[in-house]
Amino acid sequence: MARLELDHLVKRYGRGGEPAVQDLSLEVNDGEFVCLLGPSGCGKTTTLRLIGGFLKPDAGDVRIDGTSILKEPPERRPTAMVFQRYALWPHMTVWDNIAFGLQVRRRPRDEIARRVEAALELVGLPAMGRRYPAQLSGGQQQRVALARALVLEPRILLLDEPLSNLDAQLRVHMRTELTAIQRRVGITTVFVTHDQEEAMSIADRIAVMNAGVLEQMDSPEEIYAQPATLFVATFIGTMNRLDAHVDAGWVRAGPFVAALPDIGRLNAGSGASVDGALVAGVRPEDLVLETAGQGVPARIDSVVDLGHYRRVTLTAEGTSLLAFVPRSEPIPTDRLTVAPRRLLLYADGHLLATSEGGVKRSGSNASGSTGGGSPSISAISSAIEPGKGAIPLGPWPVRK
Amino acid sequence: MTTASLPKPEVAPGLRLTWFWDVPEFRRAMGLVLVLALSSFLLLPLLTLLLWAFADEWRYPGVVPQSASLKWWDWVLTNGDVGSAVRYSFMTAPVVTLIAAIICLPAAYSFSRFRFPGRRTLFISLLAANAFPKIGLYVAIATLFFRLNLMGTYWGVVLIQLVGTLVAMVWIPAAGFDSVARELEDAARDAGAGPLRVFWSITLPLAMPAIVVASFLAFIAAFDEAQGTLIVGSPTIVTMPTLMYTLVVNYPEPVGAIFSILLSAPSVILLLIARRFLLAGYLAAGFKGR
Repeated sequence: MARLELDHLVKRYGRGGEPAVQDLSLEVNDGEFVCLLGPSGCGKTTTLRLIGGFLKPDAGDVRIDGTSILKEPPERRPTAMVFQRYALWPHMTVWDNIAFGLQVRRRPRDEIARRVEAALELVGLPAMGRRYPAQLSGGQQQRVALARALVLEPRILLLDEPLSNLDAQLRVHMRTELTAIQRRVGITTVFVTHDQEEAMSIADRIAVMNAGVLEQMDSPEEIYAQPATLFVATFIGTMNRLDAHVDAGWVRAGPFVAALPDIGRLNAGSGASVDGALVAGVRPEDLVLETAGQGVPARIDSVVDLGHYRRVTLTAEGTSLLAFVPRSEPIPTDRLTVAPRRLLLYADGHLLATSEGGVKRSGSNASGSTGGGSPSISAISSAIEPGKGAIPLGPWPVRK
Repeated sequence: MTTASLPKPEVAPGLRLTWFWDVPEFRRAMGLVLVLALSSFLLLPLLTLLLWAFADEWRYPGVVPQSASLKWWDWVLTNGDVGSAVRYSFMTAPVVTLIAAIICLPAAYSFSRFRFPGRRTLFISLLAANAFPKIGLYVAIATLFFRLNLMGTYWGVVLIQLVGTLVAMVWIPAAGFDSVARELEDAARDAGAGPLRVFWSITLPLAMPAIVVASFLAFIAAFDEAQGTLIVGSPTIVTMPTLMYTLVVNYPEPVGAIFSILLSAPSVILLLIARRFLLAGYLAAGFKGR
């Protein structure tokens, strides 16, 4: 069991080109399951191959339990890799495939037999030892590849999109099985995928990468709720992107307006100017549709029933928005208003602030509001939890 | 009644000159004729060869020999020159194959796995020996061999036979090494095997079918080589193909026919085995490389 550290890794292919991996630093704790997630070409597989020793970094260090393994060739690294297309040796039986690494290490014959049987048992293929890889289904080959990696009892398990070659149903099944095996063995695991649903469902923490840069590393919940960059915000899940700017203590984001109490603090904290053009993000499920509510009047363009929720496209003040409405909630048709429950604010692509609740249209004629100032302000402040300020400020941008 | 159910208006058969193409029986018959024509083209000469091999007397009007006998078989099989030629053939061809393997397999591996300047040019230039009439090349080599005292020697014959084996022995194994996916080698490194162990346990076994087939082809090329061997080897080293020249010119037809059959036997057997290797299971069913 081990702790993996990547320290300012840089990898360039060819001379002068854009680095495939740029100044990547991250840590994977003992027994943790981390997903490297990103679009194709983002450097996630390169990172995995740097850890496995199949590529040499141009700069930086890879450490396991504090010891650099950079000088070790792949065969001497305490890592084991499951390849995307399994890479089982077609001229060897399943048993020989799994035993190969132990035979190379010159383990005694009875120990090899015992450990191969145990590995086959672990992945649920106890009777398949005599078959050849070509005689197995995709899912079975996948398990053999996993057994072949685990039988060597590596300190770090590396998985390169191992589920991407399986059909959808089997993929979901293998996902659960993979996490179960990983938990049972308790092995530190790095899993590369471009499938965000896969990453969200199996990882302890997700490292989102884009263009060779680590955008954010957090738990799946945190990644979804507080995407640190605009890339993460739009890559993970769905996000309404609204052009925004600061206007005298208010944030105008598309049709919505939110109070921004402490511009000075924001400017000082982020280093990014909040005076320029900003981008606001609203998750479709965070849009509240009401009849004559306190939001912005809107018109429904289309409703698509997707079973457990409905996908509603609507237009509010000329801005087109996407909302997810649960099946249990009605979709108002008469005097429809829309308001975001929650809003994320980005400057230069980095998260500046999040606002929980109480974001609505300024200057609307919302009735029934109390308190001083314009009706809209009171409507906002009343919707905010006491003591948190108008906009609870989110995590400051992770990079300086 | 709808318009869709109306039958299509028929074209009167007499109006089209090629109407018979549409008759299935005709097309089937044409196919059969084609197959027969092709197979007779390939097989009739072989049949004639077989008939000659067992003929005692076969003169003009006869479609088949007038009388058959095995006496020429007896003559050929007990002839001292034939025995010596068989011995020389089997002394040279396997050695040529072995040397070709030793020289060419590392080259094939390098062509497949390494990128170096001039790689493509070198790879293509292997064809050079086959691009010109061989006899010119052999005569040129012969003048060199005279100076090196290789004319009429065993090693001279081996060297000249080697020329014809190089292309097959580099190109086919190179394709074999190419077909071994890099991931399979990476996986073996990952499992703890050093580069040499990876080569012996993964790369070589997976490229083996191609290597075996290439070796067979090299063996056959060396075994059947006549021109170069004739120029370099005779009169001391006479292999089966060079003896053939003498036999055809100096003896009655059955001798040439019998000797042809003896000469083609190893090639036919090896090609049949090679075919099995090419169709062998795991390459077809297994891991397809990128």
